[in-house]
Amino acid sequence: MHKAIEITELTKVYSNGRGISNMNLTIDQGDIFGFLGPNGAGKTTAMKVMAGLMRPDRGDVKIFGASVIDDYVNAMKHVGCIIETAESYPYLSANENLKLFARFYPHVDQKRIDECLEITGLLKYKNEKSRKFSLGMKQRLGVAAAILSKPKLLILDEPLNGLDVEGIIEMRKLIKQLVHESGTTFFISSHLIHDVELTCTRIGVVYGGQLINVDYTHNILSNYSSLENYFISEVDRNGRV
Amino acid sequence: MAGFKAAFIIEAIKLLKKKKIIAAAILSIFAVVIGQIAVTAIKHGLGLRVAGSTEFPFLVLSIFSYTILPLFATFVAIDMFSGEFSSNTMKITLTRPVSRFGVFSAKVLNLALFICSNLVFVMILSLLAGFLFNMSSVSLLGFVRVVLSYMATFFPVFVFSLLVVLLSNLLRGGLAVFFLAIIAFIAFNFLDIVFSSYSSFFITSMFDWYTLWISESINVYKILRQVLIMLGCGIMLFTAGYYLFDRKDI
Repeated sequence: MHKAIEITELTKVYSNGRGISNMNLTIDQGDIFGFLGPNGAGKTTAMKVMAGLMRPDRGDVKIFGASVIDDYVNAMKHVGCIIETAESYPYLSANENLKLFARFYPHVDQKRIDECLEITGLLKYKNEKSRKFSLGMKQRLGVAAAILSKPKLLILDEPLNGLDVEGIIEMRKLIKQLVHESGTTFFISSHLIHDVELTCTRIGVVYGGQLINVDYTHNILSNYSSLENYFISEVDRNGRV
Repeated sequence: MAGFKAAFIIEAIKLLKKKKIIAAAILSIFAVVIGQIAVTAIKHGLGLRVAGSTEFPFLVLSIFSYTILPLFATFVAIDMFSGEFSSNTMKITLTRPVSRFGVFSAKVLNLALFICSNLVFVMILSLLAGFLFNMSSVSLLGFVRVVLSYMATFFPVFVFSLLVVLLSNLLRGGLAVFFLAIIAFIAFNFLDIVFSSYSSFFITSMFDWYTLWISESINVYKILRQVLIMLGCGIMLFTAGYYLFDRKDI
């Protein structure tokens, strides 16, 4: 199995002492990896380092063999991401936003932009400025921007934020469809544990800046009644009341 | 290189879509129109000739290079860096397959283009106004001198805007950067008066260095010295700005 992500001894500690330390993780191609952890555990920090938005204090992240520190351009060639919040330029329409992002990918044309807008249910709002969008619509636009280049890896930090039930179900479907049709690898963090259980094939629990356990969802569910129980037991075992 | 090209085009489109560029254009038109009205009023009212057709653009430049141009260059630089950091839109570009150097250079190049196009716009406007109201004093040499002086003004203003870029990467808030840039601008002008022998090191004192290019006897050594100082300051400010930009955690 080819490796999509290789995280080795990743450490990033903030001045307040929080952050991540000595994180080691390997994600295979085609995995839907769920990254779970309580608030402030270090999920977003790890994802920011993976997306090159932060420099680690130590360690490295390789995406399809290319280091995000030494070979950033090649590492990000096949990556789409939403980190923390889905951002767009508010003074541009949804279509204009995607057209701008498409400039980084020569193979993306207007047809693909329309396709992404269609997938995310934004086609009828394509000419509306994104400043007028609701939180859910902004999130959909973020998803459209992330999948625009047909990336081999999608790093999604709380992708279900602000989405309505319909949106959550569509998102779940989209993830499964992309894995099935294109073998896309997903690295997802979410607080909606039920959705992670329904979507992800592998789960990693991060607590206090350290990755405390990684296992396949079917293994977890054979030992625990739900992912939520597993998560609570893992977090409790590591000292959280 | 492909990433840089995309980042450059994106920055240019973003700049064009913002209202600041329209505001800069409108204010530039106002400056030229009001200047021309004042010149004409003084000529007809008091009988004094303030500026001929190709002298009028110099009059405009002497005011424009110390007011609207550095002000809007500062606005644009703050918008490109502090503005994007605070609105979280910086990560849109930074998570694409382009190096941070590519993004930084694309932004700085767009800033240079903005200054350049603003100067060209005002030059054309002031030349037109000068020709329309004082057709009698038109000359080719005068026209060349105008073009040369507007071209020369680009460099010190660009170096000053690189200082703003550095400040934008050093401080968090856009407002703090704006006030610090204003303070730096005033301080440089004040220091230029107090320590006049070191005036070349205060970049704002060079905003009128175009006079060196259009004087009767051209002082090549002085021009060369100013060019080298500006080049040195520019390279240092660009490097320091990029260093901070590259190290920044988003």
